[in-house]
Amino acid sequence: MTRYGIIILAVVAILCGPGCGMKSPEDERRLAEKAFKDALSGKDCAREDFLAAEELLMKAREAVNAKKYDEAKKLFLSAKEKADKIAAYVRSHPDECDPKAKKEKGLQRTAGIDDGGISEETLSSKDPNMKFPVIHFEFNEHAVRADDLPLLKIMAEWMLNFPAAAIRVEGHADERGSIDYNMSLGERRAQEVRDELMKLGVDAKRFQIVSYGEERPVASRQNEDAWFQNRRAEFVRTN
Amino acid sequence: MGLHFKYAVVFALLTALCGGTAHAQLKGEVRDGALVAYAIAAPGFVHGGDTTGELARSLTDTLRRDLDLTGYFQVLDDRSFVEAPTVPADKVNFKNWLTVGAKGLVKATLTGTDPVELEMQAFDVAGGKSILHKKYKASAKAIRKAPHGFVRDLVQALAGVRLKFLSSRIAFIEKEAKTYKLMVADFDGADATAIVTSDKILTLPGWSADGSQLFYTAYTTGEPHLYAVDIKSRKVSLISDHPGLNTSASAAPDGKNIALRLSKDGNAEIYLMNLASKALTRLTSNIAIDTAPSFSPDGKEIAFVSNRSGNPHIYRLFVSDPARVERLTDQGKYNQDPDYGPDGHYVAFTGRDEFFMFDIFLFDLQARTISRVTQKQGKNENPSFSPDGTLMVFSSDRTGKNGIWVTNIAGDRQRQIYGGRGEAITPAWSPEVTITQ
Repeated sequence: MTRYGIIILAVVAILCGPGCGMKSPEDERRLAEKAFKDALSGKDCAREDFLAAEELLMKAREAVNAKKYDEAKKLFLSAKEKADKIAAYVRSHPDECDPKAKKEKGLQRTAGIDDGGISEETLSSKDPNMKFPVIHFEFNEHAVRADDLPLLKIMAEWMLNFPAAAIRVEGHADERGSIDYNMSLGERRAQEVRDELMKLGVDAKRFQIVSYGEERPVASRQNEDAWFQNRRAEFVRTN
Repeated sequence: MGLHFKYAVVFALLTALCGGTAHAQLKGEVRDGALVAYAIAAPGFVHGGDTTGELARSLTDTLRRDLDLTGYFQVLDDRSFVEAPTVPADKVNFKNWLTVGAKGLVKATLTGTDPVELEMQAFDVAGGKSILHKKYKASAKAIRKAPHGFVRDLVQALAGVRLKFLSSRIAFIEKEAKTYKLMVADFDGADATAIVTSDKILTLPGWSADGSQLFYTAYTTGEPHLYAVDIKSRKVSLISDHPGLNTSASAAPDGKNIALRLSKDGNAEIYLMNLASKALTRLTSNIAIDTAPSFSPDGKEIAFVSNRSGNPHIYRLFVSDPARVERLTDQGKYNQDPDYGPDGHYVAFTGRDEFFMFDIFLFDLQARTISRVTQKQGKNENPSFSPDGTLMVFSSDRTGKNGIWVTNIAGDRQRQIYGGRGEAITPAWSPEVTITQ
């Protein structure tokens, strides 16, 4: 760089101050976007990090549009860092993150993870000792997922076939978020499940609702699959 | 707790205020652009001619920790000291303390074994004058708490401020395997004791207005009911057993009412309960989740969490007109666990940042701005203000396990006060109480 170049740079830096870079951080953008592409297979197994990376990328692009280049540069770098972390996680957890491997191991989310092989195919609503399904939820949500509606239909049939059975619906949350709020979230989930069963013709009086909040996880690891398993409603016969 | 300050007799309080010059001299000074606290030397307590005994060392540690926690002092490293701690208080050569940069000096001597006598004296080094001189006599166990009172009185003498946290306790839940313990410890983590132990879930402790009882939720019957336990007698009484959740009690300053979360009508709402009659007044009416009430110091407002906007955020309601609800936080998507500060200036809360990390934040009620207290130090949750509003306690898993931590408002002085074998969570700071009896 010439001496004049340095002087011009210095002058621009002084005029600009810390709030504005000179030009759009294209290199950082390219690297962040590539890293994000490489992290796509972590969309489900590292969901929280994935959403965070996605948000950072979005914010970085917004910053470019607003000509806040310094800020954009920082955000692209953070997004890349996050995306690299996801990619590393995907590499070290092939069973969890590769959909093919997951299917082979019966770990697919829609089939209900680690529920002892319970699925709509294996349940018989005519069996008095039917093992009850477990209903799962998305983060901070209490609506029943469409994937779980067939399981609830079988549960409702069973309750109609065995009208003397009283059922406690136990609601649970994952470990993230406050203990206080999660108790309500667990309760909402249990209520939502009960309401679905009522819609299918089961008498409201046969249900008891209890929330355990985040106190009784079934999976202890700190990743989306474990959290998904923990965000659940379970059925327990009380008579 | 049952720790009796049996013989606690303060013989003399010779508060020599150095001709009135000492007041308000505890302001930090700015040196090289940084705020410098009042440099204080706290040489080891002397017991039986040296400073190495267990009791002497424990008291020295307590004094230094207290001085540090107040935020007023920079506690000098005793390895730099040139004068032996065994030099009696009336033979101190103040030049020896000027050379190590001390503005203040605390001398302490113990005599006897049980009961023990303790003499403590604080000096203004430059003037060579006594600031505070106190004598205590107590059992070997109770005497360990004497430095708390001394530091409280020292700050009062120097700055005219009463730091209530120096006589307060902290309650929290410790979970280990399948055992839940409702713990109570002094504010510095000392004397941590299980007040209630159960193999059923214990959760969400909150103090009564006078600090004599703890409200908490237990699944003793299988359902989450609200109980109160007397700290001294450990007698447990049932407070609320409506269907659904009975949790999150926050004591009104009048001592007669609590705010709590009930879901007896299906949805989590905040109610006011008269403790004597158990009569309920419903304060929130919304199809969303409303929970985690925290009374303002004047009892007129309650900060709480609601997801009425779609995500959990911090709101406040006005008790005399509960339909008047005001949203406080509009940043982030996940704000919880509000604690209304005792000076009415801040509401502390747990927020989730753009990296999905949980940290402690403050909402400034006047400026209506949010500031961050913890960052890049694991998961930090459940802030609770000290009774003077100068400190907050919270849980953090930064060591790999949840422990109890204390921080100042700025977040630049964070100290762990408790780390047990289990996961220590949901701390609650008591009002000012007497912790020596």
